[in-house]
Amino acid sequence: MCALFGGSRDVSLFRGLSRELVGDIISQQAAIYKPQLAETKVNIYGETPGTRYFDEPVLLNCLISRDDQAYPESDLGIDFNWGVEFRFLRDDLIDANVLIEIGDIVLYQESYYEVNSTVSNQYVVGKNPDYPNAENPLENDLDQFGSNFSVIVKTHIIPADKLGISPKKERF
Amino acid sequence: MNDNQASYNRKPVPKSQKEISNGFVDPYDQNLGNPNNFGSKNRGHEQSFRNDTVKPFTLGIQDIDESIMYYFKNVIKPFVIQNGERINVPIIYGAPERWKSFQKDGYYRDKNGKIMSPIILFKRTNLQKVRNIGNKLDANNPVNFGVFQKRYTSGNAYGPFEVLNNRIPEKTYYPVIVPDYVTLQYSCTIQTYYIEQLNKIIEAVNYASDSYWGNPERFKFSARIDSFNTINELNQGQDRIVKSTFDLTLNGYIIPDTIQKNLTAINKFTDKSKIIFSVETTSDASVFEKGEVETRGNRTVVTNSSTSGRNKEAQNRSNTIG
Repeated sequence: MCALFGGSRDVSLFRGLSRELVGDIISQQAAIYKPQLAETKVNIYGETPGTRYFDEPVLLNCLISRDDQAYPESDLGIDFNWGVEFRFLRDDLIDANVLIEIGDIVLYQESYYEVNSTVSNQYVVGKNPDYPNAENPLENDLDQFGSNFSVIVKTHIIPADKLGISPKKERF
Repeated sequence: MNDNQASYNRKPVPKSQKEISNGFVDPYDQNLGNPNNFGSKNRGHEQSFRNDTVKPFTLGIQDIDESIMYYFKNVIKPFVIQNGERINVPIIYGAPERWKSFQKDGYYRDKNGKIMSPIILFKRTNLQKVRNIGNKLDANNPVNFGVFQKRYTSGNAYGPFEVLNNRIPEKTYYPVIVPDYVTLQYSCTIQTYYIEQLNKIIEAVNYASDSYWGNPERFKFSARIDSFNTINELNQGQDRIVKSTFDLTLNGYIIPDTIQKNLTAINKFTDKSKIIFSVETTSDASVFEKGEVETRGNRTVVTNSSTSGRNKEAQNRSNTIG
């Protein structure tokens, strides 16, 4: 008994369709900023009140799902909150050599969003090629099937001047 | 028997002139009574404030709140260094109106409307009366008051002319009721992006504790801060929260602008003006003679007989010499 679907040809088809859909038809983009860990100094509280350094941003095609804008009220007055979900093709990230992690910054519509969580569990035909499926005694070619297809990034908006990437532009 | 004895031993209180005068009045309308009996109000205390630039002294809760705002903004002047820039920390009063918070207060928001840090918020949470300092005895009849003197009155100027004529200027006084002493509690929140920034602001505010907060040209009140609570949290789907809360205790006083106070208390009075009559003598009795009225052209001139008498005397002297 061997697997029939989800082979490399199927995955290639899905990848091609998805890239065309995301890149040429929907055409939404977001930029990823990754902090430079070595350059950025951190104090005893685990924070960076001084200058924070980032790698050059990487512009990627993605699907964007926006929550409703929220206006929580407190003693400070009316605040603003906005959660946005970005869905990247994992192969695009591999090609761009970007690993999105919690704490990265996403630039979208001139606002900055901090990554809360990354979800990477959309497996084509339920198989993750990173898992050692080849060691299965009943099906020894399972590593040729399936694909880890997407990276879904959940973010929240952060105050514009906190990062200091372009403070003058962000404030006004 | 005891009542009679008591009335016999009572010290007689003489009637005032007013009581004596009113005793002779037979009112025309018995139902309305004597119109002179208008109560115990002293109309001499009712002085007009027309052309008087002195505002009746009042000090409200808002004045105290403003003194805190003034002290934060102009004395403590908290600031942080952020992205290499010195940023003055905005100070707001808690829970403003929605339109003011979101539309007018743009200076601490980014273009999306998100509140940027740092920011300081304060709001009054409690007002407690202090009963062991002062007492105006009865709010409806405040007989216990302090007095302010007006330093200068343009209508009663004191210049060299008044000095030469030995005129002492009339002084104007403004009695003010004994204030209501109160202790006010304020809840303050400092919010920053980073604990390092928060520390600096706490240090500055803590240094200002136990001093007198307020505008030196207006009012200052003793302020006290006992503790600072620091909150540093990470919440799911939200930005990191770094803030500190502290309670500010302020010893203040209130002189309300109530109609009850204005009706019952004396608002203004002047010291007693004196006209001193002195005795002068003269050896020339003609100065007391009646003057003569002459018409010169269109003017009527009163020629004093003393002047004419002096002229006659001078003429006599000149004739004698001549």
